[in-house]
Amino acid sequence: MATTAQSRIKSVSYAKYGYIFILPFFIVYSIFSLWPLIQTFILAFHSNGARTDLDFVGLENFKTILATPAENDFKAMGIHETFWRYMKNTVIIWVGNFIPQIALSLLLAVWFTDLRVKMPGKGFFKVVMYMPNIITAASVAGLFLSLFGDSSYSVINMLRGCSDPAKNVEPLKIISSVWGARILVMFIQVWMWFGNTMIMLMSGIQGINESLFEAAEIDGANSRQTFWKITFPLLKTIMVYTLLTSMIGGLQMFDIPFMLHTGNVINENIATVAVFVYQMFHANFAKPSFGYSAAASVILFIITSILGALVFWVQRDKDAMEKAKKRRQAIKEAKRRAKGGGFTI
Amino acid sequence: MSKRITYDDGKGGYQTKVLVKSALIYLALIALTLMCLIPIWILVVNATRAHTDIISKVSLIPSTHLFDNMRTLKENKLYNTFFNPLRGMLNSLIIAGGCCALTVFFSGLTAYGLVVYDFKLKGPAFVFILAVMMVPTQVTAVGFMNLLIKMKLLDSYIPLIVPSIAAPAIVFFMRQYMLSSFPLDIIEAARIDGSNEFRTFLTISIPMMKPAFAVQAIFAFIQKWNDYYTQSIVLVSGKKNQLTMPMMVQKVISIDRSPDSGANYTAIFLSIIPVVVIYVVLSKFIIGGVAAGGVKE
Amino acid sequence: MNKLKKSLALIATLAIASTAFYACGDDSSTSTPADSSSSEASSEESSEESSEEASSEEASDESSEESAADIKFEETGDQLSILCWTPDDVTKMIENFEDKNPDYKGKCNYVNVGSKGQEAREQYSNYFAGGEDADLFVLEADWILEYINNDEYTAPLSDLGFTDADFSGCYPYTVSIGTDNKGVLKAASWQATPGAYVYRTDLAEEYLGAKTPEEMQTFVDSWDKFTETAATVLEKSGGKCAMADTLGGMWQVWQYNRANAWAKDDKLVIDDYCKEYAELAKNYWDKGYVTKESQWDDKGWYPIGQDGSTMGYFFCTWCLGEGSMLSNAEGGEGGATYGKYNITAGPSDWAWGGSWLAVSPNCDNGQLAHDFVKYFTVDEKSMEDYALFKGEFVNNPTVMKKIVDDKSNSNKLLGGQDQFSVLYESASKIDMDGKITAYDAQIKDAFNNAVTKYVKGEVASYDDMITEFKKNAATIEGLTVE
Repeated sequence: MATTAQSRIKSVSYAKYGYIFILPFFIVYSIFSLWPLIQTFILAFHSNGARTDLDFVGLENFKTILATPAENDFKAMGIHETFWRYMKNTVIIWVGNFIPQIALSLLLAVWFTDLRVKMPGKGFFKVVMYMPNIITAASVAGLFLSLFGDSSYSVINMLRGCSDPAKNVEPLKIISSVWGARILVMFIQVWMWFGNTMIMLMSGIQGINESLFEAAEIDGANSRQTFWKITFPLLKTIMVYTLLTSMIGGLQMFDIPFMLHTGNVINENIATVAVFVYQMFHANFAKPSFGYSAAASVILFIITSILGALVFWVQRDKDAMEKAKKRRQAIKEAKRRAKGGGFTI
Repeated sequence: MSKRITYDDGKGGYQTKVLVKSALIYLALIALTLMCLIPIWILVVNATRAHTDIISKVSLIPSTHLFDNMRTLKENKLYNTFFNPLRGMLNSLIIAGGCCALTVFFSGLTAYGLVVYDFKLKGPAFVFILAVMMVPTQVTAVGFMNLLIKMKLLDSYIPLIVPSIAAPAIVFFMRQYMLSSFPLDIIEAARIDGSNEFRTFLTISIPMMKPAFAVQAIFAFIQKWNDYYTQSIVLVSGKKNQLTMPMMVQKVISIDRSPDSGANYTAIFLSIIPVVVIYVVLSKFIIGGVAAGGVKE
Repeated sequence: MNKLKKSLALIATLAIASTAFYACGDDSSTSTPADSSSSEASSEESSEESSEEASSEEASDESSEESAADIKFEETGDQLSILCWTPDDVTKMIENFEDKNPDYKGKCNYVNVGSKGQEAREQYSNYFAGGEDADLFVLEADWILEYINNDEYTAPLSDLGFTDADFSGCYPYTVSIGTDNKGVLKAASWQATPGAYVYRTDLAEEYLGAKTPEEMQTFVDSWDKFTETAATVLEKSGGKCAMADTLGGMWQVWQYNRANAWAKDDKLVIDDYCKEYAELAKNYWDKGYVTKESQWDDKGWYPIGQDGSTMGYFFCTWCLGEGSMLSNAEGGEGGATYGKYNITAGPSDWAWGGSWLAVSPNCDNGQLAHDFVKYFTVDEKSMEDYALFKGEFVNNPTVMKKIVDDKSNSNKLLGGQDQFSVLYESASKIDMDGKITAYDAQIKDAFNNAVTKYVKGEVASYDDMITEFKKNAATIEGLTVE
């Protein structure tokens, strides 16, 4: 009986269900993401200064943003320099937050996964360290503004005695200084994200075969050796992946750079490309600069696509196969060494 | 070779070393914990202090003015004309909750479609999802704004909630999860029992996918709760009864005539309570989820 | 459904009431049912209106159309929604208005849009597009033109039944700012906004020996004198007391005294004035004659008013009322410097900002909107009432003269001094004709941004500063920079 039922089922084509099941995704994606993406590309080739009836201007917007402007073309100079200043900020802030973040996260991940260090309260530490990541960026910006603001009455300046005029202490102007603000944003980014990165790296480390570590321990390898000889090489893939996703995330950085200022004017020392995109279509309600905004988005898209392609290149199957092969080899090696009983350097 | 000698020193030396190391690590961890908690602690403390105290001295000891500050938020027109924490939380809850439900359900459905069935466009569909996974929100923002203007969807929750039906990264995650831990035989069995495809998904697949659903649901919730960027693009006119929690906080910190730091801190404090509570209650899931997902938003 | 019922009921009431009036004869036609019991319209006013109505009446045979001919808005709304970014003014206005017009009790509603003027500027248009109730809304001098030049957002005041003559009692500059590029009056202001120097009496006596505002004025009556005094104060206070509150405050004084508009034929104008101000600002900043706090930064701007970091503030009319900036600077009632300030004219005449009431084309409470606008911008009696109620410098020289002469105003924040007597003089000198442009808000931001950089040494020279300014200003859509 069963076999006939099965064959009957096999003869029914279920392909249409496949289409039905994935249809909602594609419809909604097309309307709310793909169409806007296409719109963005179209707008990038159109003029600025109005909401409707835009003229086709070819590559003019890209030229203005990317090419060195003419001597007295202040408008082009303004747009060009703003874009590049924001691009520079984006890169600086990203590098400045990524390096300490990955170092710190890696160190913590290794500690948390180190079999030799018995650590009660591990769970508590992990929970606390991930906590900053869940707080709304608006709240974080507000909080850090009152902690490190320019005013004599921010927490940091009060600790230095600035709120007492008799002491006559010049307040620290972190937010309005170029590097002060950048370093603060880097710090906030590290503060918000190191817990997340740490946990990702931990999962990477836990993915490494435990017998490797055990073997190393039996061999008497110290923590440093274990890290450089086993953990780090095997973690490379996930590290590269973290690097690239963080880069893509970094290109999108918006909330903190956008909100960390007092007064009307956005802090241009920390504003990112995403802020540029937003500013261009928001600055003037009747005359938005959709063209520049869209052109900057397209540039962002191209950069992201290149980075995205790199992610897939790193993550591709061949790599996984190679990794597995390496792991097997490493285990064999470790076992061989374990038999040999010596850990020679 | 020197390493060898240290090892040969005997168990005692090794133990001491581990102990010293553990102690150092502990110190570092405590320092980091403080780094994470002190800003939040200052926030909580200042939420309980009066304005005049806040601007005269830094303190780490809570005071007694929390309810005064809350009253200021409630009664002072500078705040109460837009700051209504209950309303804000409700709005955020509608958006985050709606997104969360749609995201996990439809991502599950899409992933199910991609894993269970064989069809011609299966390959291309998956490649497409992979390809669009990395497109930043900001890139489509201009076009999105333009679309909303044309469709007259500004100031509506629809463009905040409905798009979460299509979440490429979550589909990707669910697909991987299904491939690794979902027994396809079960579906075959259900078919023999005469269950239709959609019911199979609802009654068999979803319960089996619970862990993945839960993790992604929590993430989607927190992410959408905090998504100031999209909210500020869509809810352009900032109508009081539409404001979400992050938008209210953003307004509070940008009021330029506010004389009351205590009330400001209290507003921020109120805004983070719901997520922190959800987080602490579900922290095990979340930490597990980050590890399993491995995808940074 | 509910709304429909209500509007049906309203129409029915209107119809019944108007037939009743028709029966009574023409003289009551000025009063509509809503305010018939509490009309405070001056007789001068009503005669004007009734004559106008009488002429329009001839055209229509149905008397129920009387008010419709006068006020071109439907009466379908049950709430008058007044949009603004701050509750400071509007809530006080509503309180005063409803108090004096009990029939309208609970019918006026303040709606918050944005949390500062700049945000409201961006959000109003979106708010209107959203179809939410909007009857009146408040505009700021810096960007008023963007709205009143656009018929999609603002309706002429004549649609509310006003004639240009109704506003002849106002300060002329407020009328010219409220007039659009076609010469149509689109917005009316309830205030004039002259500014002055508000200083700490105790510090003035300690450092300068000045006992009265008149004596103080001799120390600050020109910028040269002001600078000189700043040096004295700084020295006597051991370097802790600055003469000016913030660069922002100084800027407000200076920007008013520009001889030219920021843009002429959509072209940016940079004149000698820019240089003068930039050099002065740099000098003040370097020497410590101005504090390094920022204006509007609540964490810094207000505390300096209590701890002796500044001798005083550049404040204007709307900074001086209860619950306003001066009150915050004094730490509120019971604050360290509560009532310890006095006001004096300062180095030059100036005005700061100002707010205008405009009417949305979607207004659905024509009569109420008319009465509200009239109460605050036309009717002298109610304006006087409001001036004393809020401490507002209302937009009518006659009223202000009367208050000054009657000595009926005394400001607790100023230790009982009457600020109007000081401000009245400069108010009549305000002349903004042709000096405001649609780009002002953005140009000023760009200019101040550049000056701040110059002051802090982030740009090396004045010329570099101007280049920086030009580049910033050039990104403003529609403005040409050469």
